[in-house]
Amino acid sequence: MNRDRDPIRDESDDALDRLIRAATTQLPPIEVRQRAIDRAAALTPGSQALRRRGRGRSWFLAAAAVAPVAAACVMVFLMPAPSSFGWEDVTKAVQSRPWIRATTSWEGKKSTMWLSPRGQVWAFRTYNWDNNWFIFADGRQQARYEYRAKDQRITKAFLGEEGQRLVAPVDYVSQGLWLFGTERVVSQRRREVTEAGKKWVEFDLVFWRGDMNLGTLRVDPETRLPVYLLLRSRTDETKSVRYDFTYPDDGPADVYALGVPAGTKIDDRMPPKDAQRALDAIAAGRGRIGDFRLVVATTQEQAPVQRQSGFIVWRKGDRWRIDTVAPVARLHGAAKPPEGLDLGDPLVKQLQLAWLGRLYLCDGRTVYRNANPPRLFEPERQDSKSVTWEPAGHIAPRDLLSGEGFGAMQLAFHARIASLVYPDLSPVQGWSFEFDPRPADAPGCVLIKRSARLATKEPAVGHEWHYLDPAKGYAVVRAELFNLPAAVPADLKADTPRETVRLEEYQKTPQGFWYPAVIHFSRPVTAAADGKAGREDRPSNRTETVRYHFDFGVALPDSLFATEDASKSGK
Amino acid sequence: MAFDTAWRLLGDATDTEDAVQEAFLEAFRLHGRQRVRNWGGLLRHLAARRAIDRLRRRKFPTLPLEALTSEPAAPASEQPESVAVQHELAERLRSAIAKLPDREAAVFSLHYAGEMSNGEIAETLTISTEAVAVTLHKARSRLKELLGLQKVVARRSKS
Repeated sequence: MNRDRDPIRDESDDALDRLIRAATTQLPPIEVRQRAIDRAAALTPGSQALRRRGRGRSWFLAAAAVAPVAAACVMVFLMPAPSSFGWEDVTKAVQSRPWIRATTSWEGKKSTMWLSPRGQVWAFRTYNWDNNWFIFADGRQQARYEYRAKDQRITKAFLGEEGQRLVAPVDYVSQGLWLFGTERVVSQRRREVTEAGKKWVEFDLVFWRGDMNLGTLRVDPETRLPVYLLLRSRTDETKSVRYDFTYPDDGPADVYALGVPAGTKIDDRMPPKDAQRALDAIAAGRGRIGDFRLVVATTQEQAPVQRQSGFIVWRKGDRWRIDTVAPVARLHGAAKPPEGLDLGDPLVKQLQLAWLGRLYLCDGRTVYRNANPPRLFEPERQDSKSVTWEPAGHIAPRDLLSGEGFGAMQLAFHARIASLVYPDLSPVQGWSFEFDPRPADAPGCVLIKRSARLATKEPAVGHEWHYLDPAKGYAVVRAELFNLPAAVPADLKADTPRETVRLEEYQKTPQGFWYPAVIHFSRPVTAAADGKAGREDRPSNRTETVRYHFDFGVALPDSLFATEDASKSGK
Repeated sequence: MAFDTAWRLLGDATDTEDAVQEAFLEAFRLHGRQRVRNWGGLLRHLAARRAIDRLRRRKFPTLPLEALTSEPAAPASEQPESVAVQHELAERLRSAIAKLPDREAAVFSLHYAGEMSNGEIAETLTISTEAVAVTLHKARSRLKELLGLQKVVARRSKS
């Protein structure tokens, strides 16, 4: 790879190295890494060697390290509302019950889950496996209690946003999902079946993660209540697990009622009140975004070339769409936007960006991706006829504005502005959480520090420091991400290799949504990863500037989110 | 680590997750039969193998290579490259890696995607360091041939 040391190199080597750099410098979305680690961790019961790194994940999904199925299961009733069956009736029927109980036995391992939407309680326990694990989530206290027999103590921690979705799933009906857990449904199909003379309605579901991500939910059309959920592996046809639902009048009142020995002490790890206030404000800030058209223009400063790309995002309620744009100068041919598509954004004109093609489309229920993505050198292929929609396997409708990141949308990484400005920083299993109300290096801000052990050969800890500005609705104004050996105290020195994210030029909408006009990313890049020789070299920094231009008043006609071609080619 | 190796080879979230999970599963099975001395190397090796398997099952589009391998004609500030170009370049390389013989694909993948030194690769594959260097050279030569890079360069020189 090093021209100076290799006299037989020629131009073809340079060309090959360019291709290698192109493949090895693409950055994965953090959540993709996280999911891969979770899935791997699921193979190692009880393993402490595989910890997670990345944006917050469901605390109850820590179960994935022990019982992937239990994690995936505790799950979803959903649903988008097909009018023929009257899903609203199903929702009402479930809500009318004081308690919902799901039981299962998989490979001899029994577990039970309870939910009370009215009481804002979600609870779970295992029986004589996994150290007898108990969880009691209380929405009114904003706390979750967790007990494992081996620890002999109950841990009380902050419920967080995902926990909130567990205990109050009906609040999320407006998002197109009826969540009974945090597992998102990325697609669903309804059908009717007759068995022994009785009719049932069944929904075939695909969940957003995990191997056991194919499900069939059977609903009794007479009671409108779910009867069971059958989860299947997408890689092993012999693997399946069934959850049976019942609707008792009573359920557990607290963690002790689940079976935790009376008198067990509670280890209170609730964050201080001002930290809870900050976390609540973050979630509220994300919820104020409203409908919009957003232009995202990314410029990557990296010798010897400067890369530029962009996206246009439209959002209207549950529906959204992401297209990509490119500099006019790079186009080898005409790239005409579809008739009626308004590209009048000043940023588009300023940067001489031209419409290139379509990437993602969400019709409110399912996210589709273009299986024939835009090609810079063949833009003439990017007319509407060449768009081939297919359901996006790991992307759920709510991912666009999720605080957890952007799922598997690696082609539109920087469009995940909600997770950058208002990330879900709630304390989660496996992460330490520290709140500093007055950080010395950022007057006026508050600081949330998170850290977790990394799955590395040498013991190391990943740190995330998020600086939030209360004057801007607790939006993030700076984030520092860095790794240190496990024995080294968490101190950010000037020469510590780190990824720094600076969010600047904040603006505010009439609805109170604060957003940055510019985000600067600075990432350390090792010489080897940059395609150069000298593996021992210290990393250099790669900078990236992303400009965001929102327009909250622009017309958003329904035709922007037309799903006709999606339903023809993808459903 | 294993994830980065698979991601650089595949560039696709779903495939990467699957390849990493398969690699871990295989590693744990191996662990049950024998002592693993170098987990990092083993996992990267297995992730690379699983990733290459997936590349070989993929259907790659035919792209205009000359356009993709050319340097920007204008000054960098006026002639930026885009993520789309990078994606297409990477796909082109991946299609060629899928056609490499097993040994060459493994060595090339561990070196560039796994960021392993020749010594580390030699230890992982239980071959000599010299054999790694020779295999790597062969892999590069074969890739240039598969990608038609010499022809592109020759044509450009004439013009």
